[in-house]
Amino acid sequence: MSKDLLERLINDTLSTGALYSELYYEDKTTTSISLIDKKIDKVNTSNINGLGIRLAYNDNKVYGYTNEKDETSLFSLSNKLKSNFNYNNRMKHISLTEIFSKEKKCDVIPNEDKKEFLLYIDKYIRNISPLITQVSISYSYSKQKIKIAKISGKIVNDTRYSCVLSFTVLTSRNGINASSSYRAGSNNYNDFINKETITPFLDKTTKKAIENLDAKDLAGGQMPVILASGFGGVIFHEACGHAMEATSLVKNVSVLNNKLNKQIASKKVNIIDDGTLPDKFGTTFYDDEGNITKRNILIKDGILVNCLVDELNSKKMKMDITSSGRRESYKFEPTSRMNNTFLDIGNDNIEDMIKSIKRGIYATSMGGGSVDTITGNFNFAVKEAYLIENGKITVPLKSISLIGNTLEILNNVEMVSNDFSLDSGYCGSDSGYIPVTIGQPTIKLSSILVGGTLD
Amino acid sequence: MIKELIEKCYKENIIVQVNKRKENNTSIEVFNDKINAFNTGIVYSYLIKALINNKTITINVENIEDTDSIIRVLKENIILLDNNNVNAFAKNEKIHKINKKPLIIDYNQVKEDLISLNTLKDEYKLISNITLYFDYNEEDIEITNKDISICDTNSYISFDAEIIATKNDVNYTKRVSFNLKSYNFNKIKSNIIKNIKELCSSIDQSVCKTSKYNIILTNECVIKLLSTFKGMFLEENIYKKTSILESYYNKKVFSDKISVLDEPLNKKFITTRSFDNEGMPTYNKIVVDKGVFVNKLYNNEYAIKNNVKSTGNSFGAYNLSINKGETSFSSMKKILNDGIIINNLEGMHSGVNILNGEFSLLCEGYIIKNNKKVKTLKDIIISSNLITLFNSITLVGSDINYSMGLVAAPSLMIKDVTITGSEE
Repeated sequence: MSKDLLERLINDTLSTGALYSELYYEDKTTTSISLIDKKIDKVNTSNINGLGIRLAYNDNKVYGYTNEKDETSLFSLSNKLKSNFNYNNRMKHISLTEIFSKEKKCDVIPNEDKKEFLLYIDKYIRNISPLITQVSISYSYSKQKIKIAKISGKIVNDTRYSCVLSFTVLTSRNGINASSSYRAGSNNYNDFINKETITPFLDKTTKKAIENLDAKDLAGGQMPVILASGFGGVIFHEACGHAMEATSLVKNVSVLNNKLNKQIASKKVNIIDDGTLPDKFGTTFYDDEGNITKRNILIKDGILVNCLVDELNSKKMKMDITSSGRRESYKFEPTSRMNNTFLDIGNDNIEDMIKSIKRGIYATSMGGGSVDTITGNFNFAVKEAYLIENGKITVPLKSISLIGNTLEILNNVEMVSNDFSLDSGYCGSDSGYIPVTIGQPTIKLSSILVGGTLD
Repeated sequence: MIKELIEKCYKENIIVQVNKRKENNTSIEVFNDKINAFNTGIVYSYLIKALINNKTITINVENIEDTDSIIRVLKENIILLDNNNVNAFAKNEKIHKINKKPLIIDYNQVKEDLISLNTLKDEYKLISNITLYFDYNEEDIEITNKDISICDTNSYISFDAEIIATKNDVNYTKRVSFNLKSYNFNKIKSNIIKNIKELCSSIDQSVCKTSKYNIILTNECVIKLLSTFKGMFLEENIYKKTSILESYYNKKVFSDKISVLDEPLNKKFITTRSFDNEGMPTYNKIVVDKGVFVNKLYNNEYAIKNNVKSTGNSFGAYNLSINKGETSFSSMKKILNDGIIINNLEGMHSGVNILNGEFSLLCEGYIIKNNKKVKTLKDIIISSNLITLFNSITLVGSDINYSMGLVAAPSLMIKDVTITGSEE
């Protein structure tokens, strides 16, 4: 989409008095390769290519999108949107200047190498045990080019790369079926296609799928829980991350409204959202409003010190932007979202955490979750866990859910270790599904409600 | 352009079918008395399915004009594929056509109506905020290959609301979600009022003990569960061992009190489809008959593999339902007498394992004793396995709900379900 067209379009959108206009053009191609039953079963390439226009005058805002990119269709969309405004102010003509993010190299891996890698994973896993009944693997990679034309006179250009590798191992014994899955995303194509680095994850996931055949039911209830490093950080993503987004704060309905600069968590809790971490799944050089991403400290020693703020909400909230405007695609209006959100390290010892628990859970692999940002009630799934009895890890457990409330749980963080790691996933909210990472070192919660099938 | 692509591909020995989709959406968000967002968009997309040397490859694009690029990608991707299953495209099949027209919506009237609901806050003093989401969806589908060109359309309104009640500075929420075949403000208003009343009566909450309870799972909860597992009836998933019904074909899998139907042509649902994404005609059928899994759902590839005809389910189950029973919801409550009514499930995307049927989910509900609501519960988790749960059904309600989308179900009474509570 040419600079000339974007310039004419942005000036046209402002002709009925809107004070804010932003054009977001996206061209994204994703290819996914799926293996199941020892063979490449499906290969699909998809492309999305369209433009989103956002206009605002104070609280009055509209968003429109189209993938018909001829001038008639684009100006027709502009007309439809600007008809919602009828104000006297007329802005001066905006001349746009293009700026570009630093060119990032992302080596293209030959298709044959990808196929050989997926077949290697399948063969390696199946050779571990005859109990394995199925292996499914998926690898996808995408390239996204964006242009964001701003009322400030800039056209921000960025090219983003990402890839996702996932596999699921199914096991069966005497009519009992079990499974274990692995998924990781990165902004560097080379991060996964490496037999040496993937092997420990193949071993670990397969071992767990076999172990899960012996997983026991649990009698649930309130109990202490250890959450392993990495995806354990989903608890902070759900318990406080979403409640810190301007989207709910601006309506004054978030559980964290009026909590800024107040102690909301145990002093061991330091939460950071950082959109700049190299190659991480939630990293972008510019956010989807064209602002350079940064590291935002959100909770410092248990005190809420900042929130995630996008451009339009920053004006309403009278807070600085945190470069947190994100969206799934041009079909979504951007809003404040998380990038790479994590709990910083502490200095407690994992063995001490286990020893301190008479009856509780050691959760080693977490699934996704969800939260009601208004009440602060959240839930997330634990896919793999062990029972702790009298200070010792005993039996593997069937998958369980943990539920809690933001303000209670943040104060239940009793111990924090230093074995920090990050994991990747997708987060769904108002502006669609976006890639994120979440992370933490291993932590101990003094108490949380754990669901189980035994009474 | 579609015909040009088909012809150009044919010259390169590539047989192509194009599934063109036009999506027209307009949404309005109202927060109390203000329009918070007005979004609108039209998107065209093309699912191109190609047969090359007996292999099937697909590509999704939003721009079909660059035919050379499309052909290049198809050729690049086919090299990777090992799947040699025979496939075929729809020919001149007999299709049951249903006449449908797009809805005409007066958005200014919708805005005015939705803002007027803010006055409910004056009537129900506990209500502090109301957010309403109106979403008009229109979808046109056109499938073209060298033999056919068929089209279908659907339009409907999805409506969501987030109602907040505040008491002693503590917030309580109620989320409402339903679809409408046409704009009917009275229906929207009465639904919102019903939910406001429910929210206001469930503010004083308490905990319960972990135990096995007899429960009623409301129709919305049954729909959420069945929606999550609806892929289990597909032969493709059964063949790949990713369905919990792998060993149940022609066997009893659920309680004989329930049957499951797949009814793409049933007009009681919000939308209907005359043909699937492969252009194959759809029809209504029984999938589970009185607890016995009697019919698998097939796409073309797995139908040919099994030497049967496609059931028109390349898009999976479409308009799946559990048959309704004879007992009204209020009678079910009387019969339950002592137990828990579960009226919301959360975390369906994470707390469910579709590979083995296990689930553990945050839920909402209330205890009834002697047919009376005793207390609203907070902090409860329901944990079970779908097959175990659907074998423990004691009563099927008559309150089948078609408003949630592609799955419909009545409320179910179920015995001995573990509910974890935080009471010591």
